[in-house]
Amino acid sequence: MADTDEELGWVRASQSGDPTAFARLVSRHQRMIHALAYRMTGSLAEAEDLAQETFIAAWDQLGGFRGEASFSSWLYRIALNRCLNFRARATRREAVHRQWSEQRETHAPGDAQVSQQVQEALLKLDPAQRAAVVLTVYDGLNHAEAARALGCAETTVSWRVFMARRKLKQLLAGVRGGGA
Amino acid sequence: MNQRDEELNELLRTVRVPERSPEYWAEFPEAVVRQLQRSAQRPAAPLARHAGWAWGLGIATACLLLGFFVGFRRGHAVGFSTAEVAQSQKIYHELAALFPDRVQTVLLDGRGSQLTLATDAQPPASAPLLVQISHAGVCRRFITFSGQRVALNGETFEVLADAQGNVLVVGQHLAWSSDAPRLVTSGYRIRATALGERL
Repeated sequence: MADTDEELGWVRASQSGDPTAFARLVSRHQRMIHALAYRMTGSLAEAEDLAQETFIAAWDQLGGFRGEASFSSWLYRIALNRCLNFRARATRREAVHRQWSEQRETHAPGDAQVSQQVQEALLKLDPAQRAAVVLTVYDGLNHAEAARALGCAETTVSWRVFMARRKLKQLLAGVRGGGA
Repeated sequence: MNQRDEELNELLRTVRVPERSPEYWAEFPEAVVRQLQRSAQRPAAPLARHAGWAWGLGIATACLLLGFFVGFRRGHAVGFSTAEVAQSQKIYHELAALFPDRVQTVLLDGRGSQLTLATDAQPPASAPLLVQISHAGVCRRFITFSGQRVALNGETFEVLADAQGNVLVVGQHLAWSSDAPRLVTSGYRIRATALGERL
């Protein structure tokens, strides 16, 4: 997304320490960051925490933003790094898995059940593979763009997507459209 | 992309991000700003960065000299070298940036560090404290906060900080204060110091 003059003004004002301008930036990008965090964690509560951490980290690092990439890409990379660190919180991740399993067992008819099974399968992927899927399937990035966002080689992204697809097909074998 | 991949993509896209209320989206930016104000962070503007570095370097040099002087005058009462304190500050700073307001204790040993995190973010009760407890040939060093508990050889110690910046270590068999560091009992050796203001 190209930055508008208005947005660049908010960035400059935020760099000078104006929290009101920063709140406008948060307001503009909050849905994108929440969606990324939700897809990476499968938890609304975790997504909220990660989104907040992302914006606080962005504020802290704003002095280093030179406008070489768009503000949204820069912010997206910060969020992605935060989400990849989610793996450190093993206890909380186990709780999310439990929560998903319980939800699936208690009330999940039809499409909602399929959706939950897919989300559960995504959560079983290695975080780096999950990130590759989120970027390419949900956010529509090609492998080169995803590689730039992840800070790795394009071939690495291709390999992660390949491995993720293989595992997802196994995990979703019994689900409509799940392959195998 | 083959047909099976397309089918998988369609299946993956059945996962929708749950919609939140308009009130949530209206409130979220304000919550972020409140959090920023609580942590009193302010980004360095690009043009002001060099001046900031110069001031920071000057202040850091002055603090190092002052710290060395005070440490020398107190006969190395806190017991840590400037390098040890600086290294601990660096470790804490990096972890606190990764897990804001969640770090409870960092156990530092020769192989690296073990981290204990709070489930929810909560501002720490004090400045970070560097504590080392040695007993019966076992020595453990922690970065922690007032009110936290640390363990050595199965015994638990509560670490406290008072308003004067003194560190207290209280165990079942001892009560130690950085204010009177030589009063140690039962074969324990303790060193402790505050790592400065919230880093």
